[in-house]
Amino acid sequence: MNLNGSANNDVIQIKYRLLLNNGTEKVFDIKLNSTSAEYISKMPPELPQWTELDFHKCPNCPLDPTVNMFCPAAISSMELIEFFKDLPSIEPVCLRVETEQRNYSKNTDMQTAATSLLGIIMATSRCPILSKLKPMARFHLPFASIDETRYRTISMYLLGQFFLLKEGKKPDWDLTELKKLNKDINWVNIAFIARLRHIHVDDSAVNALIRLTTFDQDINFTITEDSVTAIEQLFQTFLASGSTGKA
Amino acid sequence: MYMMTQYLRRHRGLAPDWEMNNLAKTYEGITAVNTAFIERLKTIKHEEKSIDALLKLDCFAYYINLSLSDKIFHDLKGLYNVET
Repeated sequence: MNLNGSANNDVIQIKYRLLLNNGTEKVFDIKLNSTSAEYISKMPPELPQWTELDFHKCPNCPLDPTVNMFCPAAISSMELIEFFKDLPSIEPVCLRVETEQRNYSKNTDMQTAATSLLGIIMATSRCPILSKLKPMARFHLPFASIDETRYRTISMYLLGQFFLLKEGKKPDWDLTELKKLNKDINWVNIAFIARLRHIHVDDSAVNALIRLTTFDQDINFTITEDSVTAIEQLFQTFLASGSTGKA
Repeated sequence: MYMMTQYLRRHRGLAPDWEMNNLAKTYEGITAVNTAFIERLKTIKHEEKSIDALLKLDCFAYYINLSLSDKIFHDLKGLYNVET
C-alpha cells in the first residue's frame, strides 16, 4: 500500500481542467512519481532560450550550467507558461481539479488557476531550491488560502525536523532555516519573473508568481512577528499543561 | 497537526514531544471514544450507516497508530531527502 492508500500506483495524477468563457477547455495532466513526488515531464524536442539555466539565472541557484544547461523549473512550466502567456489575470475560468481521492471545482480567474498550477509544477520540477516544498506538492491543496498555506508549510517543515531527529541529526525547532528557505524561494520567484518578462509574459503567469512570492513573505512575517495566535486558538486542548505532549 | 502542537507548546514554555511518543496515546483515546459511541448508536434503530462511518474512522485511527513505527513514515521520508 502506498501513501495514496491504494495498492498499485507508481504515479500520482492530478488533472487541472480549465473551462474558459469561450467554451474551450484546456487540460493540464500532471503526473508525479509517487515516491519522490518529482514531476514526470515530457521533454520537448527544442527548448527555447528563456529556459536556459544562465538566462536570468537565480542569484542563489546552486546548479552548474556546464552540467545543467537548462533551468528545471522553466522546462517543467513551459507548457503552462505558453498557455497563460496571453491571458489576462482577471479572465474568468471554471476550474476543476481531479485527483484520485477527490475533485475540487471553483469559478475563479486565470491568476488563481496559474498560481495553483505553477505552485505544484515548480515545486516538483527538480529545482534544488523549490524542491524543498515537494512534501506539500505531494499533498497538493488546490486554491489554498494564505492561512492554509501557512499551516501546511510550518507542519511540513516540522515533520521534516522530526525525520532529521530520527536520523540523529540536529533539528531546527525554531524554524530558522524555514525563514531562510522562504527568502531563497523569493529570490527564485523574482528571477523567474524576470525570465518571463523577457518573453513578454505580462499578466496572469507573472501575477501568479507575484502571488506565490506574497505567500512566502506572509509565512516569514508570521514566523518573525510571532503572530501564531490565530493558529494557537485551534490547539487549546493540546496546549493545556499536563495534556498530551508533556514529556 | 501533532508537530504544530509541539511547536506551540514549546512557544508557550511547555515541554514538547518532538519524538511523537504520545501521539499513539492520543489515538488510543480516540479509538476508545469511537468504540463507546458505536455502542451508543447500536441502541438506536436504523443507525447502520453512522456505525459504518464510525468504524471507518476507527480504522483510520488504527492505521495511524500502526504507521507511527512503520512503512508510511519511511515513504514520507522519501519526500524530504533527509541528508542535510
